[in-house]
Amino acid sequence: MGWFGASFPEMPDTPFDPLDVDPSTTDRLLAGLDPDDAPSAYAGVAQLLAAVTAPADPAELRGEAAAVVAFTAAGYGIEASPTAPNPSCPNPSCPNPSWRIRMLSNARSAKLAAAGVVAGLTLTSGLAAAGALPGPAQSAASRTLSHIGISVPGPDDHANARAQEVNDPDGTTSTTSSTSTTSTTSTSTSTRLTTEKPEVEQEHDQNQGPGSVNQGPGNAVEDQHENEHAAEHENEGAGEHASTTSTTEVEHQNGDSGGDHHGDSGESGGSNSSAGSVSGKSGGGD
Amino acid sequence: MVVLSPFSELLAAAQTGDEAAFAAIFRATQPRLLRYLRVMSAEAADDVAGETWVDVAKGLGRFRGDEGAFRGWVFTMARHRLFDWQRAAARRLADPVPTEEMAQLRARGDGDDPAATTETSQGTAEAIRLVALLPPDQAEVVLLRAVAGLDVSQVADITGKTAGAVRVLAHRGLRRLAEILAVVERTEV
Repeated sequence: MGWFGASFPEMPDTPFDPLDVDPSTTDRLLAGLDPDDAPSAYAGVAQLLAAVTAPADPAELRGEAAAVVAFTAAGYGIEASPTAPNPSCPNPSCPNPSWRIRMLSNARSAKLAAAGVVAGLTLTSGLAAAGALPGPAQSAASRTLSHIGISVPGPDDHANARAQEVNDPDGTTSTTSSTSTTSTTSTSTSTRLTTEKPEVEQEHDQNQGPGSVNQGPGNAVEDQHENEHAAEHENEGAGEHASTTSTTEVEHQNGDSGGDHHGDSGESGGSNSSAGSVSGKSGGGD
Repeated sequence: MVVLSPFSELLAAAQTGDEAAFAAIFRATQPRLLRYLRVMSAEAADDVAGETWVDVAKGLGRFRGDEGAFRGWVFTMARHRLFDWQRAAARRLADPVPTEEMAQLRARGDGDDPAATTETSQGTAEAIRLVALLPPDQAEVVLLRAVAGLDVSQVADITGKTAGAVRVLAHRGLRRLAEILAVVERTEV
């Protein structure tokens, strides 16, 4: 019972904790508070922090010479620019070391790019010589290479050769175990074979605008897709995925081959039913 | 008229290739960097500090900022280098070390107690040993605040924590240090 009959709740039993300090004291300690000015419970901490931030011991500076050497070797860390001075060569005609490094890296990039172009040309020529390029690309390669006296089979030769393979059941299974790129080629060729050849070519001619434009990049994207799929399949090593990929490839190709096939999947599926069967064979082969 | 602080002058001189200015910056920064690294990973400290200075030497020309920003930059690079070193060490642990090589390492005294191998003064070495007893996140925040002289926001940026978390870790770290020192005093008495 308190004053005037009022009752007061019991005060909680909270003993004074000398280690409880306010945030500002923490900040001052971390900033290097003098031990004499610190709360008594933290005087030792203040001394300890002073010791951690004590002046350098000579042993700690042993790496100075090595650091300066690194500084020199790095071209004094001066930002590469045509106007930046070169401390080792006050003459403005001397190139800046960092600038020289950049020039060297540019030359290296140019070499890499040239190597890439050569590799690409070699690969394309090789595929063209083997007759393994898609129809329009094969005919373009055949025309281009014939100008420089290199004989490359045209798309028709390629189709005839493939027709023999399709007619030969052993040949069909043997062509399905290679990479997805060759699988796409054989599928597109087979699609063309099962329909009447002149009509397909006419379709291509009629759809020259969007169809032919789509054909190039479309195939490039497919190739990339297929390579990714192929990598996945190689990792997973499952034959089921291979058959799924083949079907997807055929669908993509149907989409690319002409505007008529877009949007009407039933008609597309009907007209290209043989393509489906070819892809099924491919999957089965895997 | 703009009055340049000594550090600004040193930095400007170093950025134009003045080796003496670069050496002066090294002398002002290296001891604290080394102490931070010795607490975080005693065996890696010297190697990581060396790699950090190579990074500083390469990037100094592009650096823009005052002394506090410079310290933040240096300690950030040191921290990244330390993580690289620790990842590499973990890989080395995964690979079996030839018995002969292990014997040579022991003979050289690698991996000994940091306080025993450190060549700093006795008081500093003992202080480093005591701070190293803290949980790593508390030790790092205390060192970045007290040794590197960084403010809360800089430490938060470097460690990827919130400012509030940095304050709490610093508070707990100091409290824990006080408790450790009390235990040490009782033991000595």
